[in-house]
Amino acid sequence: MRTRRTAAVAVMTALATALAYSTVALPNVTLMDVVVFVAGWTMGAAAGITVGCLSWLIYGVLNPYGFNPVVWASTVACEALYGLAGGLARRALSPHSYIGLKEALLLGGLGFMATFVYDVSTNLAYAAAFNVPWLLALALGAPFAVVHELSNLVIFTLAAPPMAKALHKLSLPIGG
Amino acid sequence: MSKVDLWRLLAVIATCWAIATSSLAIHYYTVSSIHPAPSAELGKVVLIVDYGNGTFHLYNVTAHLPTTLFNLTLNVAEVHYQVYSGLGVFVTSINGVANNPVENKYWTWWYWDGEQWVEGPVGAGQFELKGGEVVCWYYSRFDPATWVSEKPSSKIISVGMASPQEGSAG
Repeated sequence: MRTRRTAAVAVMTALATALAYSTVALPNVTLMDVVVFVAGWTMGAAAGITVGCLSWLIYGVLNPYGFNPVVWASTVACEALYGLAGGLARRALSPHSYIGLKEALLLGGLGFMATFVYDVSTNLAYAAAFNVPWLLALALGAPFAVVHELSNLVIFTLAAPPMAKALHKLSLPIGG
Repeated sequence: MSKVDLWRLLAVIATCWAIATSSLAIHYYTVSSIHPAPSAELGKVVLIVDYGNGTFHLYNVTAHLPTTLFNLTLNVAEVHYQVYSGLGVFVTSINGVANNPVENKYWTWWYWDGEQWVEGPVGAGQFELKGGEVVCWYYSRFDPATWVSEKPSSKIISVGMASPQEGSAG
């Protein structure tokens, strides 16, 4: 079971990283976050946090937008928030249970809030790295953050339930 | 989903709405306080193009303000640039001196805050000049490890508005 779980974390990390590169042309829209969230939702917070950290460790080093160690460290830590949010979502909603529109919207809302925390944290790290006043960084970054949050609301609502169902069909260790 | 869960969902959606609208409100308040109200009055700006090798062009510009630093630079110097959709303009060359990725030398812009040079917090196309500013395009070396650019070495002692001139920092 432990080997299957490790393999599942590796598969989800590879999927998250590949999807992040596939959406690189769309600023502030990414499919990585939902994969990390689903990893946490289906396999638990620890697995989700691991997938989140590993995904940004890889994607951040070969980031098409450039590399900065402070921003990189903050995004590695903050991407884990999605895995943690997924783990917390398990308490409210089991991935095995029926997922209707309301449940999917609840997942979307959780994704929105996790993204808000991610955006605030990474914008503060950006402000620290580039010596920009933190309030200015947050205010000027707000429209980009809202695009990220709204896009994740839609993506989490539409993609998280079928992804969890697909993982179940693949016999990945959901619920472990 | 039970009735309690419906209220939970409504609470989550309301929180998302509050976050989004508050974020945009803070953004527009900040932008409106940075950008001046439109006026047709003439104003003066000192624009320095520092080539990083001891030479510079100094422009005392009288223009209709507000205008962006990018537009002002276009009016006084030969500028090459690239436009990135959604992100703004990226200046690639000023007066024939082009960015050099091999030596990590790029054009960055700075403003004088009365005591020191401060790197521009936004793109030149987003920064609006109100009048009275001293701004500098500096051909600076950029450290790829820290993303920190060299500061202009010149120091402003006083600002006098006269006709355009060229000079050397000796």
